[in-house]
Amino acid sequence: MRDELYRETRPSHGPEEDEVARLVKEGLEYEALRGAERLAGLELRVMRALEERRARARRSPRRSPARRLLEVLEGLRAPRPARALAATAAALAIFALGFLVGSWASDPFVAERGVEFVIYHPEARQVSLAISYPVEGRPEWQDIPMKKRDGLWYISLQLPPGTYEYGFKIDGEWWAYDPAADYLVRSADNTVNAVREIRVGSPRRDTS
Amino acid sequence: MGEGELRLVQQALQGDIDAWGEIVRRYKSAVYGVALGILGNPADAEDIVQDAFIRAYENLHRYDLKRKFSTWLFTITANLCKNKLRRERFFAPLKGLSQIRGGEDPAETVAREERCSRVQEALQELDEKYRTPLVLRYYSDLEYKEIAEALGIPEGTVKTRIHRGKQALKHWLEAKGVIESAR
Repeated sequence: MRDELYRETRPSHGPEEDEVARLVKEGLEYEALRGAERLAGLELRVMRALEERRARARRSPRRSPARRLLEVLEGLRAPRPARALAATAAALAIFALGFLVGSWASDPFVAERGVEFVIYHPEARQVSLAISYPVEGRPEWQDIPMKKRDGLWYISLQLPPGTYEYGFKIDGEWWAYDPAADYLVRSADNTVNAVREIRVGSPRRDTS
Repeated sequence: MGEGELRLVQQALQGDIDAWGEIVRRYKSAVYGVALGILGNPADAEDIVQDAFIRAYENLHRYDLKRKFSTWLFTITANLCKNKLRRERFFAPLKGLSQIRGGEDPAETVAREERCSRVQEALQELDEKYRTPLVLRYYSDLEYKEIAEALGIPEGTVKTRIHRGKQALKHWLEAKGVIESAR
């Protein structure tokens, strides 16, 4: 259709335009009706596809967060032996720290409900949680300042079921290798983000 | 969403694939209409419908139970269609219409087929950015705000595109004699 047909005109919702709306509806409803034969058994095909995916997932169980973290670290650069060793050591240190902090920090937060994000960083002057949070149904990144106590930065959020990408801004520097994450993802701009999946009825998560 | 459908969705959330099959049965025709309106090709539309229901099931935990379920499904479908068009940058025009079975007046059947075929042609002549909001507005009955959220564009842009798209359709249908010119 020629471009000049899109030229701006003053809005006029006259009977001809209502006729156009009616014709669009009639046309597509008619075509949908005609498609009934084509769609026969679609639900069975969808169910079969879902069953197959479920069976595949059972055959190859999900990789653990530790495995994913190591894969991300290994993928950061060409793995020269020393660098790979350092990356592995760093991953182990982060997990050990996370375990210790998690054990230590579980008590102080039992009074708070919600999903807890914790990071141990006594030298940091300012730490915030950057999280992709749904605003009016669409995910938007938000910076939420974290509270500090004894070198531990923490925040507890009430999150509805969903998948949340997040990371920590430590004095402006991005860090997302959170041991409490369900997994890590690499975003389009090559940044690594942590992810937590909150499901309906899922138990309250432990601290990292 | 009706109480029965809410229960089906909740059962599906617990992993009940049969419940999801019932959801597919109820919505497949409406979702197909959206896909066909945007893509213009029945075979592609069918593929997208199947894909949309699989994606929706796998992302069901992201569905906000307070939102209208059909709107969420149409959003997934419209975006899958847009992605497909983006990937392919072309689409086949709607092929010739097959005969419809039924007991209605043959003359009316022919007239309606002709009319609907013209509308489909006109829709496929429209640029996708005008076509998708039109389909969501007039076929799926979504509000401007819902379309804006579904397509990730401002509500004002949705209104402008629908208005211009409708004007373009009107000119095209007038030129083909499907509707009478007001002039």
